[in-house]
Amino acid sequence: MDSQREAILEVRNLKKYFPLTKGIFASLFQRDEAKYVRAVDGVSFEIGEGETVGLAGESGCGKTTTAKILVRLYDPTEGEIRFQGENIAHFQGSLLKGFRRSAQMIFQDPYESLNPRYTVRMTIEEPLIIHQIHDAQEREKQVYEALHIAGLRPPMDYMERYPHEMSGGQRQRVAIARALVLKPRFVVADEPVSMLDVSIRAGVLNLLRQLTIDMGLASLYISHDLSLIRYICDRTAIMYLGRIVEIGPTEGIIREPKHPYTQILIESVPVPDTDHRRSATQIAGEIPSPIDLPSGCRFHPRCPKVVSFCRKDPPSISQVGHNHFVECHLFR
Amino acid sequence: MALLDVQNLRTFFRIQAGIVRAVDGISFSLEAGENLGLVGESGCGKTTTAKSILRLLPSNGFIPEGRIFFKGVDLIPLSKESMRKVRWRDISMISQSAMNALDPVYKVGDQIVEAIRTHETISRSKALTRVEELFSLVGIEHRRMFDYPHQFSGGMRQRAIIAMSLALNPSLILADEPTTALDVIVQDQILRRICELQQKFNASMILITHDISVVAETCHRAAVMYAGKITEMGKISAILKVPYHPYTMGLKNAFPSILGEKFDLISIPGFPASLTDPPQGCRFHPRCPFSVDICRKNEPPFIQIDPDHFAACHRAKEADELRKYAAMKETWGNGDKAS
Amino acid sequence: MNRRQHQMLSRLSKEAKRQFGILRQDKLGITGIIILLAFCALAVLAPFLAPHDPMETQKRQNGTIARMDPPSFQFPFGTDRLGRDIFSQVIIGTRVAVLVGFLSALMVVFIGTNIGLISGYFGGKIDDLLMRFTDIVYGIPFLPFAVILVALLGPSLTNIILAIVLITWRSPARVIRAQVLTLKQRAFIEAARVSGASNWRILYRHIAPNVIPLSFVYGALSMGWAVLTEASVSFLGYGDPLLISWGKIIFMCYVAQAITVAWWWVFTPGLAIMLLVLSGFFIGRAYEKVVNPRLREK
Repeated sequence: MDSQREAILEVRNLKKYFPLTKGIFASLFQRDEAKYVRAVDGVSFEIGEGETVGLAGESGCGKTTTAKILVRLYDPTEGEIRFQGENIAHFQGSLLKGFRRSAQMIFQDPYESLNPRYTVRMTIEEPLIIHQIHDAQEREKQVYEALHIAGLRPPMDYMERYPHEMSGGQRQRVAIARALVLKPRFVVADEPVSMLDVSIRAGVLNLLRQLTIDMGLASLYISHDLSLIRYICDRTAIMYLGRIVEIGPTEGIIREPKHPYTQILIESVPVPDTDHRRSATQIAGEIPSPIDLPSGCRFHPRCPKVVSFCRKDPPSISQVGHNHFVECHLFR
Repeated sequence: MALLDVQNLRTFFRIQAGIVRAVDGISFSLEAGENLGLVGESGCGKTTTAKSILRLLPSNGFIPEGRIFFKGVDLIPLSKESMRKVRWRDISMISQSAMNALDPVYKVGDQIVEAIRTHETISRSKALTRVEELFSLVGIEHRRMFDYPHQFSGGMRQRAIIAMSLALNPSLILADEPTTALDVIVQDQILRRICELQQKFNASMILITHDISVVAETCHRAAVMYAGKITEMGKISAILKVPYHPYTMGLKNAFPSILGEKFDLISIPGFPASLTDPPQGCRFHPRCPFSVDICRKNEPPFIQIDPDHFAACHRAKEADELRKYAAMKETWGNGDKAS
Repeated sequence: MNRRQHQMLSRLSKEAKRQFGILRQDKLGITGIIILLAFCALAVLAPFLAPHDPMETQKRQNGTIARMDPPSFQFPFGTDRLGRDIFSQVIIGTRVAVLVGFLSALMVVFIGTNIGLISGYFGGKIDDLLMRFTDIVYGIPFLPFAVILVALLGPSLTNIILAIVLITWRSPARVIRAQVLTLKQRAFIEAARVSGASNWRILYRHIAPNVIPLSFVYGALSMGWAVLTEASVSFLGYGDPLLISWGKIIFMCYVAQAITVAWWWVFTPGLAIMLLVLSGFFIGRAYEKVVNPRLREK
């Protein structure tokens, strides 16, 4: 799971279990153990300086939960998150605040992630105030710069606007400006364009790509859309039911997916080309509940290539290419 | 005779600020057994078109002009009672918020039975048998008929809605973004299922979506909409390979593909046109890199390029040249005014 | 800092204009505002507007005491058993009504909103504690409690206001808490947290501004409830003995056993109570439209 660059973020065996609360009667009369939703069940990966890593998978696979744990919106149940060498998993108070200065997030919904009563200026200025940039003129300058690099030009036109006076693409750019105003080293982008119109997405995606290069940002890009991941990510991890099943260079994974789930996922993506006929995917059933996980390899009930080991033992990680790893019995 | 023949349809909404010209003069037709994709971004009028066909507009919506011929009969002047008979039986709809279309306090099977028995006089047991058949078709176990919607996964709910839409064997299905909210694997399964069923029942379908890839894989023909008008229409393969309208050319640039060479995505600068105060002349001209004088003054006519390929652009004849420029980033500007 | 204040002012005025634009469309709301403003003016100018001294026995033209006179040109709303002008009494009584209404509303909103905010945002044990306490207060019957409190502590205006405030905060507290619970989940709150905002910052700079319109609704309603309660308490005989209030006027009529005989004695103060309370409810209802866009006319 190593990247080739100096790692700025190392995630080791990250777990997040949500307890299921029982009703009063059930907890009085039933003696079985508490059940948990194992949203993230042992995830490990690294992100290098300036690298964009994609986290792909279907809904319920745990990618958004992982993202939120990385920016400490959730506390991990177990595991380490080493950011620039320090384990921030249990930071509190001023240590946590210091971490937040370097790690930011761009949210999915441009209509919801901005306070409807704040002007653009107030939204972008707030992180500066929180992190004690006392000089008002200095703040004004940084807000100005942030709007400029987010493509909202001239910045003065946008400063006093309210979210409802702007389009979705503009709002998302404000969200980007807010995330970048403190010049973080690491950004998590949670489906940043999925709620934007198609013709607008390209602009925002290109912006993110450019900023990553210009500012040397490391980023984690969450999406269920593999064609977007292909466009923007150097490396990609595919998640299923709380674990990473395959991780490697994006082009490699897309051209030669090794894990059966990845293969099915890629086969399912529609292509804007009428000549390309895809074969029907051979996946059985539905995604199981993350409360009662299948035994052995969690993908085995639906896997077209299942063998006898799969039902009994969880697979270990095997290397299948340069910097390309899979968790599957077929490669032991 | 075409199954559906929409002629010069206009659908407007009254709001405080004035009149929203959501659909402003569109015409298209559909043969039996054919799939038409209605493609466009949010606000282009595609959902309003579907609602107009089914006359399911909200109270502030009205149709000032146009005809919608279904099996030879104009639907617009029909009485509410007659229209009710047409709905579901002849034309059914799978709507975008289908997942929320199921009432959470009733069992799924019961809801479909009720839908059937509202339009047909058959016994409850016969209706239940029909539901069983439909569930087999969409791939849901029979015993799930007695479950509540919250016990269904998203994909299953969508399949239940599809089953419901087929319950009365309609000739036309209007599918409004039927898979947008679903994961890619489930989306693939559902789309295949819809096409299979549609062929089996020989129903026609209008698939409404913003995703050109989905249209490419499921439809024969497509109409691209922008700001209440159809900008280009024809076989989907033709539209994708040799687009004649600059908006279509721009859209092509905006879709990243999982196959083929990686290319730089190019966004279309500017904002979607206002529907209360649309631009004069061609609606797309403020954002079009190829607009000239005539585009600002006159609305473009629907120019026929091939027997089944039309484009509403003054410069359609120059499309071969324009296409080359459309592939270049510089043509579309640097995005000085971010959209 | 001056520029910052200027910006805040212009933001507030923009918001005020927007809200007023919505209120304007509700005819009852406008009526309520007009009535309320009229009463406020009345309260301020009362000493100058009352034609006679409300405590002074008046004489008719012919020199006799104007005892129990029905409405006439000289005494537009009649006189009471002691010959005092009821119209003047009602006008002076406006002061107590408006004072009680505004002070109570202010305090109820302040306490209720803060409890709702803290309970809803922090959740857990704090929420449990505060909400159980609110449940207990909900169980207390309002009027009997007010009467008992006033009977124990003494019939002063302060104690009446105290009684009103001690109970009425329970309604906004619950409702505001519910709104905070939904607001808590919204993405811009998560975004604030990721930026490093402290809980207090999130609570008072992000959540509170979004619940204030709902607080206003309860402010208007609380004003109505307060005026009604003060009138009831006074009518039962526990009003402040030193002040004239509308409830007290009716009380005195009752004590004089004149209700069946002198309708005018009850009519004017009763009408005044009704108008002021209604204005509060109309404004509250109209303000709901600011809170909930779906209630507005299209």
